[in-house]
Amino acid sequence: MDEQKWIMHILAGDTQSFSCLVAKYEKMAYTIAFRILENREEAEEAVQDAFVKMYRALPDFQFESKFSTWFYRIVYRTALSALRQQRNFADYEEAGATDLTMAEMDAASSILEREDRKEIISGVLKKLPADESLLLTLYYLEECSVDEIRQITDLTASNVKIKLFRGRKHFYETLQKMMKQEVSDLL
Amino acid sequence: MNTSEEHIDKLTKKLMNGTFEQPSPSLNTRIMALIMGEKRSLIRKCYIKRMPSLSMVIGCFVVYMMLIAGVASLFMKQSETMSNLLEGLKNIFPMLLTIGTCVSLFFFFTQLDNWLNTKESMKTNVGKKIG
Repeated sequence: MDEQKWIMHILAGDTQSFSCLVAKYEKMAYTIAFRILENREEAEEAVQDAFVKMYRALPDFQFESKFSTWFYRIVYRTALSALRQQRNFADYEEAGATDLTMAEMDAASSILEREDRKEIISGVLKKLPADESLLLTLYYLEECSVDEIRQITDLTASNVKIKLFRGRKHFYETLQKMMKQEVSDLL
Repeated sequence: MNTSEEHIDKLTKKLMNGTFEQPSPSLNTRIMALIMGEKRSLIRKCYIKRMPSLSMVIGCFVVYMMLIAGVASLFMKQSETMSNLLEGLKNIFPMLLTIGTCVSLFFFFTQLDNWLNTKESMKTNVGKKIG
């Protein structure tokens, strides 16, 4: 595992190896912080703080979990501290969302081959509640398992699943609305 | 259209593929600058040793002198009256002073040598790590 080698070098005094960790995890760390804080400058500051915290805690990391899970938890908690609004991430149960409709699926499929797909999806994610966009990012973009998301966010596994299901529903609803708006703008 | 869970998951993954948010290009540099600062302060904490203070050196000198005088007086087969003791000590005072000074200076320069060596290795290590 690359991280193991880099961490050994860092703990031996080779601080330059830390730049390898930064290069590998910077983007996802920033994405997580941005999903929570929804502000570029605050997200970058949270990421900086998270990397410093990670550097200080490296001697205590024993590879009991994946390094990414451990670090993203630090990023998550650092961003939440910066946000100071725990209510969006409260552990609560809610009535489940309904399944996706055909229209929503069609709208989503229609943008798969578009060049501006990433911009559209980023725009959709920005319209979602912070906790839902974060969980969708962790599950579908970083491909974290439900258990890893549970470790990162301290939510229960069932809560993660409910939020993912609900978030996905909102994602497709919002995407469909954006597509309809685009069509009506063109007309 | 197949709306199975697996299909929806696949579609969602494809849609979200590559949608990382982009930080500013300078973020990496800023993070490394912070880490180097952390590293420097850690090295400083580990390596800085205080030189013995002047009062400590003088105190050691006095203690050595008294110790040597005490040991010397134990071996002197003189009468125990104060005047005889003082007379005896006055005779060997130059020797006591010389021995005490040599021992104190030895202690002082050993500490100075250690301090200069650790400062030098601190400079070398910081230079290697930051370089």
